[in-house]
Amino acid sequence: MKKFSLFMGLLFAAGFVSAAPLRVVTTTPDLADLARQVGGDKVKVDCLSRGNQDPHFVEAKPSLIIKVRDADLFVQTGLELEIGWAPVLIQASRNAKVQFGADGFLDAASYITPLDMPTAVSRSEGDVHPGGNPHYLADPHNALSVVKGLEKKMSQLDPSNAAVYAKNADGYSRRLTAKISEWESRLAPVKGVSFVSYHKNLVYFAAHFGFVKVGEIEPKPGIPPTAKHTDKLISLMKERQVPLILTMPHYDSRTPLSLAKATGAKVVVMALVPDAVPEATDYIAAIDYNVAGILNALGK
Amino acid sequence: MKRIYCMAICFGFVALFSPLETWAERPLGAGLMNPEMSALVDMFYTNDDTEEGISHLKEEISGFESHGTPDEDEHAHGTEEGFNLRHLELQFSAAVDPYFKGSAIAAIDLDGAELETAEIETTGLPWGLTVKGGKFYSNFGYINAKHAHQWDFTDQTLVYELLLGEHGLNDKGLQLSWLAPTPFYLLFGAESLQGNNEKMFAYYGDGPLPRHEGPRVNTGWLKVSPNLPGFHALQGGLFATKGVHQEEHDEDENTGLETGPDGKTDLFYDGYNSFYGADLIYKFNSPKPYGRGDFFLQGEYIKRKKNLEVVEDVLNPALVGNHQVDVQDGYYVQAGYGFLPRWRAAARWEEVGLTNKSDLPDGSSLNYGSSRKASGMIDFTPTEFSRLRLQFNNGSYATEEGQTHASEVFMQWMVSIGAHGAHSF
Repeated sequence: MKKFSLFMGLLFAAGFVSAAPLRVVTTTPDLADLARQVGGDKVKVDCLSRGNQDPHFVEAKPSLIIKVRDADLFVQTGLELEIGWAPVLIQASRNAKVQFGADGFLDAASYITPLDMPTAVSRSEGDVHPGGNPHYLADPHNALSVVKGLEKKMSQLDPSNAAVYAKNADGYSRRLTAKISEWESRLAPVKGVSFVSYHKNLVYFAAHFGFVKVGEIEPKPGIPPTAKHTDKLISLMKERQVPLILTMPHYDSRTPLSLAKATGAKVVVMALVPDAVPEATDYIAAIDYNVAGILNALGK
Repeated sequence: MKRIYCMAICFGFVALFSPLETWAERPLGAGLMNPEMSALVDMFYTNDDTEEGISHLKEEISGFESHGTPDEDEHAHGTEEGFNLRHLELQFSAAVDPYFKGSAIAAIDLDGAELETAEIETTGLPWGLTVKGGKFYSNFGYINAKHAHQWDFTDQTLVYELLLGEHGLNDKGLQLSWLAPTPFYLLFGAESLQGNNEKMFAYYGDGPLPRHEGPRVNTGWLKVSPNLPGFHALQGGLFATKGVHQEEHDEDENTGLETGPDGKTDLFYDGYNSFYGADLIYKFNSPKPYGRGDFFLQGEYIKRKKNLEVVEDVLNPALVGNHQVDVQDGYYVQAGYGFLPRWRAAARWEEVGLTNKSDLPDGSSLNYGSSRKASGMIDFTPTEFSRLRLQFNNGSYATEEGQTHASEVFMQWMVSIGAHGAHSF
């Protein structure tokens, strides 16, 4: 009897272990959505920041340490986007599985080709990222690469569900590829349109969909707008007849609106990540929202 | 270094010319620099309206008097009116191997160099355990483990400065901490320290009597934080510390006043010094960029009890075996707000000596008054790597001559170059 109950106990424990979902923690909401798409019901995904928050500055608060402590897989955007807070969380979590270089640590930037590689790195140029621009998920092609990377990583950590991850990743990639064609054709009529953005975070978006970036509202990355720079930007926008000002909900609307007033350009608040605005319920919905916003502003 | 960037750029080019459809892993550029290095320059100008300088006044606060520091040179490190270069801080840190992490901070000032911290920390222990060794800031309370450049005000809080010195409790020793497997943040720690603090746990004087062997101090602390949603964070802590403490005084036969060390021991005390207290901090991390809308409210309370036995008393041998018990306390509370992008304003209120009592060996008791200080500051943080600050203090200090008022002004300028540090809570 004793042996039997021990056997049952072990069986139960084994069953419990294999049924426990893979716990994934991501730094940003876009990675969280992609991880959910790939992992489905085999993973439990937690995100450390919110969509309407500046991802460069997140307080490394103790409740986030607890999330990282319990993670099997830690996914970050990389390229120094989270350098001010993610390393502290990882170290303070004391979770050997997700330390830098461990199997449970994934830098999604390792699956993409960075743009804006600086030829010289000096902080006199503001918040320069030596590895390249970290806002690469604004290009959905990069999301396809990251999905593949997530699938590979999840399968490595949880081989028993590898088939599920492969199926989910394949299905999502098909869906995303179809959406990419849809966005491309919807944006085709406005290809080549120029814009200014608040922060240097639409470089990949512009490269994919054929928009021309004229400048940023920030005089240098991470430096808030100045009157002098805004004046220069106004004359540049007038000269180049820039019709679009692209900003994000966490930035102040005052400078974009005064630029719009001075130049006649339209302000579009972009959802760079899910939950940046209520309509952006997931990664695809966020890009849907942005495409609609741009087309609407251009009267198309 | 140059080679690293060349490599990074080469990888960039290779990647650029490969077709986008090809899915490949790219070697990571991050973490190539080993160890991470940075340098911090922290200078400030200060002025006050006291005759002898505020540092002198603070040494005379009743109940908190310094009985001469173990190392008289320490005095020279105090703040001077006019320009001060707090120090140039050189920081190094890196993973040693899969098991340990090492870091060191050398503080260089015009009088030479000293080791601010030199730490070895485990990274691979199971069950949420970490062991730290070397010379480090004790992790009790909230502000103790923060370095001077991380403070929200230029100067140390009064209660820390009077009980532990400007640098707080920073000592050689071992620390064991445990992150409990609770659904909320719960961290326990215990430390064993050598006991070389400039105000507590040390030996004051140069007499021939035997000193206690180290380690002379033990601390225990805990920190707890509920899972608040969104941008809110709250953390509370409790702590207690106890260590052996010896004092030596030279008194003039006629006046009973201290004469300073003359090689002749008149009074020798031996016993314990201990303190305990609590800390609480709330932070709101605004989603807006450049620190706008960020808010913090924090406070700490510390109470110390010093219980010393009279081991030798040349003037009153009858008192030998009796005890002197000193009980002093203090708190600070401070709040700050990011009122514009990159601009913060903060206010601090401090009080020490709410309890301020000495039970003397002859059975009599003395009660001293309390000292108070109010501070206000505005700082401008152009980027994460630089900060400018203007601060005013206005204090009323209880000394032997009664309540003495003092005002201070600080203008501070700090920059950091090198590796991009991360900010702990």
